Amino acid sequence: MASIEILQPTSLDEAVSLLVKHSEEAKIVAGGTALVIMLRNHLISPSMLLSLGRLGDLRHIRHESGTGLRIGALVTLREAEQSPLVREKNPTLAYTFSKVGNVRVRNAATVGGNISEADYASDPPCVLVAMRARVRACSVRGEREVAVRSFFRGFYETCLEPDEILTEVIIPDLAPGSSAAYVKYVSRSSEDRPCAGAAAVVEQNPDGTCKELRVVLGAVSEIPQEIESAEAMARGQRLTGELVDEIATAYSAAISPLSDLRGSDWYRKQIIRILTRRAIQQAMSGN
Amino acid sequence: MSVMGQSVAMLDAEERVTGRIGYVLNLELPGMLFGRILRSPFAHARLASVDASRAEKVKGVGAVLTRADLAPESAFRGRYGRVFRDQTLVSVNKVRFVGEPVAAVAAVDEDVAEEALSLINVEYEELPAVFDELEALQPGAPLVHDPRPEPVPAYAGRILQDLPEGSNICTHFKLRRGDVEAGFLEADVVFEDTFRSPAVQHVPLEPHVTLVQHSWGKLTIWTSTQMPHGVRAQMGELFNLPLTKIRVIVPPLGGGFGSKGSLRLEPITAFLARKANRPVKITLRREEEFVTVCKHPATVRIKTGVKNDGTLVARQAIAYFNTGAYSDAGPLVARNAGAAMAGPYKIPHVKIDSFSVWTNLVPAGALRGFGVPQANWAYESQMDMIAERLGMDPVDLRQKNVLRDGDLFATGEKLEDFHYEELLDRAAASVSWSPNDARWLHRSAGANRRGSVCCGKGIALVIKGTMTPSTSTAALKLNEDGSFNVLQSGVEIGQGAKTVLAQIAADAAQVPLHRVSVSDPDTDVTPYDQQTMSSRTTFSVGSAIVRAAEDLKRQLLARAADLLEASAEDLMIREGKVEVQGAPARSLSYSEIVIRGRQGNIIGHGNFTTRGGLDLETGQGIGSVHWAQGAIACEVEVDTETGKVNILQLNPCVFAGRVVNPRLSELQLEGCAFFGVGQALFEEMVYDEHGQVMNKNLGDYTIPSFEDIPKKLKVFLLEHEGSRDIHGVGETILSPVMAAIGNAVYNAVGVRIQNLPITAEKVLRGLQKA
Amino acid sequence: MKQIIKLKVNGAEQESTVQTHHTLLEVLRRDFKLFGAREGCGIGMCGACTVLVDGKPVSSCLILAPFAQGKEIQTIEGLTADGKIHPIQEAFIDHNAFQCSYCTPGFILMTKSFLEENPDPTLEGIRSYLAGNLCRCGSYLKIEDAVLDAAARLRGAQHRPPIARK
Repeated sequence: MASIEILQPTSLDEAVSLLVKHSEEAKIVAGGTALVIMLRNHLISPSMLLSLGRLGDLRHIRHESGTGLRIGALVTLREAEQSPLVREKNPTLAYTFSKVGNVRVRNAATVGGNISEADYASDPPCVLVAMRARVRACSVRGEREVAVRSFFRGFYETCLEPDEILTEVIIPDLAPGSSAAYVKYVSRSSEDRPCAGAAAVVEQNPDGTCKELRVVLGAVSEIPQEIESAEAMARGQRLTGELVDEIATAYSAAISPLSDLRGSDWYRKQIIRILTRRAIQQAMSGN
Repeated sequence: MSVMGQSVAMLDAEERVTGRIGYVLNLELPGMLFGRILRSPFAHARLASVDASRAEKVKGVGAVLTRADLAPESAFRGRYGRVFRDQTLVSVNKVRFVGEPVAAVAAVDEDVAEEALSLINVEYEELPAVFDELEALQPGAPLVHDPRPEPVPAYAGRILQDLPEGSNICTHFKLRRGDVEAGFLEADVVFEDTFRSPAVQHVPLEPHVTLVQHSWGKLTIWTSTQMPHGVRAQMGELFNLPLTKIRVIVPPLGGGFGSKGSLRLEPITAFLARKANRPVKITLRREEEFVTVCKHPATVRIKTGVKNDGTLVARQAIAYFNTGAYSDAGPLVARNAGAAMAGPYKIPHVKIDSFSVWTNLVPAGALRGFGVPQANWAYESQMDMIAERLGMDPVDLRQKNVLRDGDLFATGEKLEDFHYEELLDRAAASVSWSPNDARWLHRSAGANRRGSVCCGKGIALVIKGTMTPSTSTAALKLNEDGSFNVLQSGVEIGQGAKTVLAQIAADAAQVPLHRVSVSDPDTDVTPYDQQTMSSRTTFSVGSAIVRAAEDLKRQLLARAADLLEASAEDLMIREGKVEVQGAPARSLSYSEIVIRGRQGNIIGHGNFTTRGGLDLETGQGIGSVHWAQGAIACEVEVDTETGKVNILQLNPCVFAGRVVNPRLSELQLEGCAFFGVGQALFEEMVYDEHGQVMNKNLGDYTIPSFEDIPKKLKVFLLEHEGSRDIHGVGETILSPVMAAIGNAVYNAVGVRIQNLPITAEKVLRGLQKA
Repeated sequence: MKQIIKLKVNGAEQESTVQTHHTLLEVLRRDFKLFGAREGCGIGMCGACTVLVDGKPVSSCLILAPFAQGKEIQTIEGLTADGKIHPIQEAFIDHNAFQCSYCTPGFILMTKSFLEENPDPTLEGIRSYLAGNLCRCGSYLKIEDAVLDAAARLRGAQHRPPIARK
């Protein structure tokens, strides 16, 4: 293995300057779990690693009324999963983080790392999309905010520029009268990555009809899948069993899933329908 | 008080829980080099050129091994194998599977070794490859080995047929009993079904590791193997050395399951150690394990003739075991499966043809069960299918046909100490089986459904032999303080061999357990044992120890007679002492006998040899010195929307003869059950169209975790007072797990899966087709 | 590239010169001769390499050595104090909660961490927390018994003796 130089900046400013200087050769590492696997498999051979491990900031979990939860990029998945604040303000999100990998992975992997990795078979991305989360990214050119909905571009590909570092995830509070759910389906061992995951957010009108429905499917395609035309079917309607089935069928018809070791495209089409329905039902029943 | 039958904790338990147990993985020698292997990226290719000149020049490289080192002029014979000498240390003329070792480097650390590997230039000329065991038999299929490799002399004429050149058939096991064609005419109905099992990985958590030191012309080999003396013998042949110049030492293993049952890293490691003149250690990475050995993929076609009342009349089976690029234990696996393929049933007319076939896949070898899992998947699935077609309760169908004491097995052996009726009753009772549980006998459809989830129960039986003939020897060395060293060559693979053998030795020598220490295998010192496979260690090595104790006691009595000036017939042994019968005051402890007699040590020797073998044309003879018997019942839940199978209960029932250590026996049954769950539901090596393993890691190839095990598991160990033998239980109940689950899934949702694993997708496809 | 790292291992200050691409697991085994942590998969799936870093269980095969700088590491060897083994280790012995025991140190360290958060665990909770540690030999049921027993011991409650499953 070629020699690897490790840079360990202690401030965000230092990190982004180093990144600009070395954007060709340097790879960013946060928790390191994904990175070491790629190194071992010779999928990457960077000559330089830019570690965010010494950054004191980016480890906050805050809640601001009007804005929502603000989770620093370097918060570990386990910290996010166990945070009383996250559990209170967004239990579905806490639950989702708890479903990633195993306890050891979650003690090391970070929220920012998980999002920037854009692994298609990961749990949080589809939930963050459904919750209309935003991420903040920082570079020498300043800061910007991107909707998670437009953040994922392809397999392991995001809209982050090579010189940008993800600093924070902002998850708006669910509107009053809303409830959410995340349903994860593994087709093999319990420790397998998801064959499919479905996140649902249901916002209800006072009269019991649906104000807004959001359903996002993960692990079935390169990037999380949201079908607006299917969601539109719910607007202003009572979410009867029949309507939910129709929406689920529409999702299944609209998505062209991939095939992998966890299931063929045909199989995922069936699962998309089942999971969409289950996620909506679970959200409606208040989990 | 005897320690036989006591659940003694493993004697090395404290070392295990503190992480101090000494695997080969931990060993280091001064000046040691680290080896790494360069592997073929092609499934079948001619080796046009191999140029390691740049690798040899890398600083820190101690030795490089390529085919140049194996040239005929070098006087190194270079070919080895368990049954056929079809393997070389590294590829010579061609490569036969993706992952085959082509070259190896030993260097001061793994980084340097890797760097050197990357500088070895290999040119390949791709050849057409064949991967499927049936396609490999088609005329015109690429030949994996041409000409046929020579058999190892011990097997020639004994278990091998004379087979023609120009075919990928490696071996052909035949069993003929009665007249199967007449049997089919006699039957009222005949059913023919085909079943498939995929390649599966053993996944011992400890990988293969070998460390070799070459000194004064002697090779000392520390290695994770299940066959110390087998390694010594094969290395002796391979390196043309007398056995005194090879020493194999085997510390406890971190799991084996059969993967460590053949020569593996030892030849390459030893060669590099000799060439570099420094110790060399090679540790395989997990992805390398995936291309080293696996379970035989198999296609089994079973044709069974029955009477309308359920009596089995005739069975014909044709089985193809895909042994991959090198035969390894393939011939033995195919034979073992063939001998057991009639199942634990009385069938007057049986015809079995069981083939091992070469293809360009990863070599297959011994995996827990040794061919019986593939056979059992077929015959126990078919039993339920037969029951349905006859409208019978599948438990009744089995009870009607099951082998009983005095019956003759398909090999012609007269059976004794058989307990299938009781095992079947226990298994059925453990899940409260009633005829209603057979889908075709349901009183009301949908009775087993709750929302989208359907429940079902399934049962399967198994019969499994143990390697026969076989030999174990042991020595009991009495020390001057009255303690014993048990010198034996059974390997501690996690089954608790050292503890159980200590219990047997303590009981036989009539001393407390803490006065007994069981050695690790060391071929310079510990006497011969065939291998730690086939569930034989407790029974075979244990029997040798008992005989060694008898021999020791004879010597003690003779020496004591001298010292006590009495006649040996008047003496008796009681609790570590020899005393005059009726005059207990006139006694000598073992220690006193040794010291006063100035013996140094007194050593008792014991040899336990079993006889047997099957006729090459008819498969008749003695297949096993005793037959392990098991029944397993399960209850599953199937989510009809996803096809996912969840196991609610899994209850193994095994006849154990005499149990030496109940808790360790339970662990074997529980371990087998969980091992089987993986093979039943999701374990499968996936190859692409170029013969590459696509899921070469534990993220892509998943094994059962804590959340995959059944909600409930009840173990039942049946013992019999009058039993002569201790039946090894290390493998028995693994084989029928898959069929029990398959039968339960069928009873739950009416989907019959004939190709393992029973994935959620296959079940859903089956449901949607209905 | 070489780098010197300083870290605390089982309470003792340690120093090592490491290659930046080597993992904490390699450093623990090769440089500190602590053999309780082992590689089983190399990708953080099996848990045989589990160690506690600043009190939290992680896969040491996934931590690059430089990132262990300044951390407090506890391995299985650190669980023994003054020659006495830990109650969790005692419980594992009493229930023979292992076969080849390659995975055992990992399970014991995970159990330590688990019981700190869940002193009175349910079976479901045990299975869920420990699901990320693989035991190929299949000692899961005995491990479960041992964890319940260990929990009782740590709470000062009555030991749960090994039960035969009939």
